[in-house]
Amino acid sequence: MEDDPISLSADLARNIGVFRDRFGASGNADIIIRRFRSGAFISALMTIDGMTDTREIDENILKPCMALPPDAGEDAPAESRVDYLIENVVSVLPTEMKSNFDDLIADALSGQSVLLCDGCAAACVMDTRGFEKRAVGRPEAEQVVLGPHESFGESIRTNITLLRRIVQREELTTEFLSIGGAMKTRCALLYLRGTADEAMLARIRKRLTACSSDFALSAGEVEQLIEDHPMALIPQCVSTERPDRAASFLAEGQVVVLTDGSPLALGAPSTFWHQLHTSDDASMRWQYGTFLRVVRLIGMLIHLFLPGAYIAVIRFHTELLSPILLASVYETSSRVPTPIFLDALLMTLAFDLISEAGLRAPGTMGNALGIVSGLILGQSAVSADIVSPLLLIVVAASGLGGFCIPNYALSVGIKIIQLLFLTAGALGGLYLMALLGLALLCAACAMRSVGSPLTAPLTPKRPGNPDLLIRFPLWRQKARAFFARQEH
Amino acid sequence: MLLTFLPLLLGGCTGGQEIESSLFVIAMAVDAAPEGNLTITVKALSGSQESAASGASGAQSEDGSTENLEQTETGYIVLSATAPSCLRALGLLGATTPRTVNLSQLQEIVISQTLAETDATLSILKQIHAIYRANDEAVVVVTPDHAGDFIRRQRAVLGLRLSKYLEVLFEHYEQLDVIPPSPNLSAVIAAMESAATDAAAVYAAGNDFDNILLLQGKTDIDRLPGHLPRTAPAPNEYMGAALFSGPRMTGTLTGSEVSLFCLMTGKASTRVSVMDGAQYKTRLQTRVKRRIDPDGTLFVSLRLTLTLSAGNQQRTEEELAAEIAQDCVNVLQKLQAASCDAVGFGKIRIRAFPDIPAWERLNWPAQYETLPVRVTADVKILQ
Amino acid sequence: MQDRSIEQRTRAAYRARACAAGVACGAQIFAVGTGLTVPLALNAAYGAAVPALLLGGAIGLAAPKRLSKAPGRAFCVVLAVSLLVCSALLLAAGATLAQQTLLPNGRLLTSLMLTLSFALLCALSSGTGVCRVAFALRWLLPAALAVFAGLSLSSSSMAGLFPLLGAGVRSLGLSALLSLSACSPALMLFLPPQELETPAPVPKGGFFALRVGFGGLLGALMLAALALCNPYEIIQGQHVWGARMLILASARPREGLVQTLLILAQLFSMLIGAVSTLCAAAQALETAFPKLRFFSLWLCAALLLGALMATAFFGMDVLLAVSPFLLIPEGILIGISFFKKAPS
Repeated sequence: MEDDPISLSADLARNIGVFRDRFGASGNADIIIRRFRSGAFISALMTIDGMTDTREIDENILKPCMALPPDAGEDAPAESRVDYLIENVVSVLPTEMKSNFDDLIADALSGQSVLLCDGCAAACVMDTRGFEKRAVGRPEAEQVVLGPHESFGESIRTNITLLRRIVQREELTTEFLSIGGAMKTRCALLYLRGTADEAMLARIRKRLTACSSDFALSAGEVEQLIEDHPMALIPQCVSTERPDRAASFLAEGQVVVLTDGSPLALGAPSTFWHQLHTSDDASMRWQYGTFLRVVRLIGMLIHLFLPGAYIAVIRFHTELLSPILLASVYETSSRVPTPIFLDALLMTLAFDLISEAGLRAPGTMGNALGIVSGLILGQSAVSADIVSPLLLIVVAASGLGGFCIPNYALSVGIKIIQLLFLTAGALGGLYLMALLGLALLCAACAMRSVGSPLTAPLTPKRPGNPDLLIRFPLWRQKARAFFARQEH
Repeated sequence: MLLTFLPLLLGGCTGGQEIESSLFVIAMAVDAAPEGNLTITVKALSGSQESAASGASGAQSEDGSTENLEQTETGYIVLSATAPSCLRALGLLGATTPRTVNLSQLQEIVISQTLAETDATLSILKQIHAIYRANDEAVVVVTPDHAGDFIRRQRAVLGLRLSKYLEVLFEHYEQLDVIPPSPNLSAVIAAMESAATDAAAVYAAGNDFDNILLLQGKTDIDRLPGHLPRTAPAPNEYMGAALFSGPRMTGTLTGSEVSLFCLMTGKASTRVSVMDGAQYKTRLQTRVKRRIDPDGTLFVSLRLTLTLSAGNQQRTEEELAAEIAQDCVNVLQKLQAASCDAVGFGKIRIRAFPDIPAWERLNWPAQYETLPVRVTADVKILQ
Repeated sequence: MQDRSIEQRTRAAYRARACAAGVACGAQIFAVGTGLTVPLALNAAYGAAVPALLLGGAIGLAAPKRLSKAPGRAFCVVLAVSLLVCSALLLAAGATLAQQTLLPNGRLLTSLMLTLSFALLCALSSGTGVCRVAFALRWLLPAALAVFAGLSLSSSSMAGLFPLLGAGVRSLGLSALLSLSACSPALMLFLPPQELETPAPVPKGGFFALRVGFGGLLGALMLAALALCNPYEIIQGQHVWGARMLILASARPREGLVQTLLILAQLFSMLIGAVSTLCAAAQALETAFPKLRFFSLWLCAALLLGALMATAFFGMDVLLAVSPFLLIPEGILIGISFFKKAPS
């Protein structure tokens, strides 16, 4: 009978040989395949150096196995030797029995240990992960005043633990998936069984497993694989680095997708309104939460429309300006050598450059960079009559509005749309801006997030928690979001 | 998909302009010139802190019109052009500057009285409004002087930092409810076109202290200079209202007559009255009742409260009421004599007609002049 | 539970479509009113819009009967042509209003091309997007129109409404006849929303008639606002369609902002109406000729382009002259919907 190239055989030496070949063990120093005598038969343990907790392996696997008397296990059938060790000797929580080489290699690569026995065509995969990981820290991009300050890390197990600490319910289900082609990435789907809609779950599972790219390393890449409209400027999933926010997604009936190696959790399906909410809104009294949401919305609208509207009014609709303001703009614009549209583009680009440079510059330099660039460069540009001071104020106000958007991905999308409106305002005034606005509104209203309308429950109307702009008092929030199962 | 990119290719055709390529006119003056021509004088923003170059450019165009560029206070330039029509003159101004004339910030249009007393006023105003899209809120002013000189005399007052505004005497008076209710460009055009009502514009002149006739008025309000802070007397003086019958100017009202007129139209609820040396603050208690009686009498009823603010009260309520009523009758009769239905009795009369042909058969302007007038005033004095 | 969810989603889709139909009817009543009836009836043009409202209500009542039957090819073709004419009219109205007010230094052809291009962009998301936008703005748009028109009219008197019969009974009657087909955009209710897999359950007739009536009423009220802001002599002298759509009477300073916002609200209504009728026309063509599935929108776009180019070169009267003839297909389609029984 020919050896099956995919599955383990009963011959330990052959199995070890296959593993060595697959890993290129002769040149690959990370692979550890440790043979030892465990009672009446020979066993082997395969791990990746640095990925496992060596103390646990020593104390709970190797020592107990090697301490067995020479006749221990001789009565056990050869094909059940691994079971014998698991039931009687090894004190690590076993995960699964597997016999497929590919699965076992993937598990070993993820930091688990693989226990093989001579005569047994199955191996036991044990969770002995012990690689170095970052401690639970503070959120970098979603800082709040009143809410908790924990954030997700790169370890999927730690992230799941953080969620389970908040959502202590038996219905909380974790499904693990490996996605990608050559280099698999481990993802976890978390949902509340009975609350999340089954059809929606099936859709997400299908999209994740159908991923055909070689690898998908981060949550952002996973998001790009499951979204409905990859060409759209607005993200269709909401991402968060906060466990409390992810827990609120679960409670709403959404599915949370965690990716191993990424500190972001994805909530799907989501709506556009989710991307404007923060966990501070829920932590505060409803009046404060509502007020802050309105401020954020105003900030977003200012960021989106102010530069374009300013250019439109100056080029096409000067009758809207008061004579005092017009005289001021007229004087300052007369001294500036470049057209106002070019000025606005350059100023907006300069603002974005300063923001990006501030993000990338290390440590305290990043903080100082913004002040230096803004004050010195801006002041010099105005004094040299390169830019109009009013335009500088407009671009700065618009930039401040952009920082009010809590979701980073959405803020970048809005920034691109702002440039479109700027161009529209310069080319066709308020009319072209209105046309563009309507086109974008139509596109946004037709978009879906994993099958659910992105702009619901505003349009189309859907029954559920009316938590859009006004953060209703907690006692008024009697229903979950519309994408939960109907009986909830 | 080609269609969706077409707008980008057509971008230049939307008519957008850099702001510095526009000539923003703040004040415009229209005078009659020899040989049936019109002289248009405009005061515009210069766009710089320094004053404009002095001297005349002296350019001559083919049809004989001339253009002059004059020095004025910082921030403004004054330009004038003479041409057979208003549009051609504005076109000449635009060609010589060379910027596009923009009337969206126009604050006032000053027309000389000689021109206002012809039928040309309406067509000039309509051309400016429709073709040059002048600001609807621009105040229409009629002056017995040279209109160009009128706007040259007006001076800008330095207000806020980085801004200047042209002193607009009339805005201040509007707050005192002593200027005609709707002297704005769009309202004047609508009133001139309508058969049911007539226009009343601002009447103003240069403050010539040697000319006693111009300064003669029945009450102090007619001699009151502007209240904006300045070190010298106002160069231009508010005189009252210019009355129009259709497109033609037919009479004037003094300042105090205009305040009574505003009271009767309901556009003003307060005024200052001086009677027998006592000054009263007059306030309307209820809405003014205006109607046309079955016998055709034009009837106005006022209920007023008077509060003594200076001097001693020397008359009873009934006597004061009778004097106010008589003053109102005088104003209405003056309006009738000028064939100017600025109060709006025509708007009341039109309601009785089912359709426009029936209304037009009435010939309201002719009938209006002959109708009797009655005013009743009910006065209560508050201490 | 599943059935309840489907019913809620179906109702939401029909609600959105009805809102779009209401906006389109209001916009068309205003466009046809300013284009055809105002020059005739002068300040009484708002009264001429009332019969059109009644016909729009009839379309709303006929909609459930129509939706319960599968439409025939001829029905769909007639429907498509009617809706295309409505779309062309609304696009032209929006473009001329924009060119008269917001882009006065530009050319009419530019304004028409811009409007058509962006209408196509909006229509790319099929009728779903624009109907949902109409639903989202169902209170905001009428409120904006009411508030801004109210602010513009705040200093005007009721005298503009008199004489009540305008240019006379004959002119008013003729105007009413010419504008009878102004609620033709409501014909889009004869097609089910595109995002629904199954069109059932269909709401009752009052559901549609109410929304169409409300939208149309708004259009008539805007015509009344026009009458209030100008004496009939001014209206008589306005020869440009776009200029007749301006509502401005206030003498207060800085009304430019209020007027601009009002114009933008008017334009939004016209564009939503134009895009929703365009999408419905494409849907009708697709229903009539399933093989045209991917080309129906572009075919409609090409026809619209031709109509608008003709308008740009020969004048707006071309489209306005065609508009009263919409009454014929409208009457036929309503008649078929009310009286023809469904096949057993």
